[in-house]
Amino acid sequence: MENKVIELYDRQEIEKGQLSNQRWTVAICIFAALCLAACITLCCLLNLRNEQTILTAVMAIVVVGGWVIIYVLTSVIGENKRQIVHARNMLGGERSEHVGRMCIGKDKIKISGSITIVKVTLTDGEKTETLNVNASRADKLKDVNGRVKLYAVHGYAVACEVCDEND
Amino acid sequence: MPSTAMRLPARCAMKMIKNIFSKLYLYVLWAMFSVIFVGWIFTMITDTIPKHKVTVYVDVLSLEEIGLREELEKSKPDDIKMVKAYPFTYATFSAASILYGDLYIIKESDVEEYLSSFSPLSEDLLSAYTDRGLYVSEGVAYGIKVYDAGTETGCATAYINYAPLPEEEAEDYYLFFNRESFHTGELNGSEDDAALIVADAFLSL
Repeated sequence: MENKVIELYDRQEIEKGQLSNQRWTVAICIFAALCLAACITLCCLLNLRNEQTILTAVMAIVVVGGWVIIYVLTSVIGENKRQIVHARNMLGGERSEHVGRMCIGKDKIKISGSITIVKVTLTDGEKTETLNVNASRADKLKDVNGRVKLYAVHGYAVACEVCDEND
Repeated sequence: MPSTAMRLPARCAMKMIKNIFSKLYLYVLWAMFSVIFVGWIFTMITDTIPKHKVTVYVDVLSLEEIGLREELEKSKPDDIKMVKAYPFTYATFSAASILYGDLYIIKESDVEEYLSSFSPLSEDLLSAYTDRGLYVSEGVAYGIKVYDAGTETGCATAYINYAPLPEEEAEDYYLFFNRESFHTGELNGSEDDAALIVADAFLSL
């Protein structure tokens, strides 16, 4: 019977990520335009009596609106972009095979300017190997038990084949 | 692609907070930039160059700026875009800004400090306002009395609180014209006499 292989990356997910980024980009453009329109409308309502109120309202819109855009750009779109670049590297790289009993670490490590990873230790008798797994894919491996064959690219796990679940 | 959607709202909130704190400098920088930029844009919209406005500085602690501006703007000439009224404390962070005022309302004890910046009154003004009382220094009249401490009566008392601080004595207040004003007409040969018109409106309040 053929062993079950869990692929951590696929091209469809890259396309989904790109589509998601496009949607978020459109959304923040619309949001920015709405903020600008609100500011212009408030400025049109300006008179001697409401000067301070309008100034406060416009400032609040610009500051909070900017924060929302910064959040989306850095945390949503930025994270998606990092994942897409990483996934492309993983799919295009040459795979190496590593066999052993797998133990997934709990600590998440953020690589500056890149993705967040968790460490995976493979123990095969006396031999121990440590690989990285993209933290956002680690959930796919959480139910895997026993002896496994991990396929890795540049030290990152990209697929997992369960050799013997009862071992 | 990445599963950014977390299972629990709390985890999601934690992730969001972590993301925000990891880029906190961006949020702080944006807030600072926004305050400066919006403030600058607002100044552009709500203010203009000295040539197009008449500015009144009032040496009191309590001034209802908006009400006074509304009253004074009713009489402003068409070529003047706005009348501004500020307490002296407005110039706390920019002493130079006070030099660009057109009209000054100052209590008697402070006048000597600023007298060199004021224009002597013209014959027309003297004849029009002598009965109000004038501020005279070395035989030259510079200011028109706008508040009499003895009778506690004065101009624009609905907008200006001439009352002294508890430890101070009540003083008379006088209206002066800036020697360098763009709007004092015959007083210094400037193009228009908008400051004189606004002063007249003020004296009738």
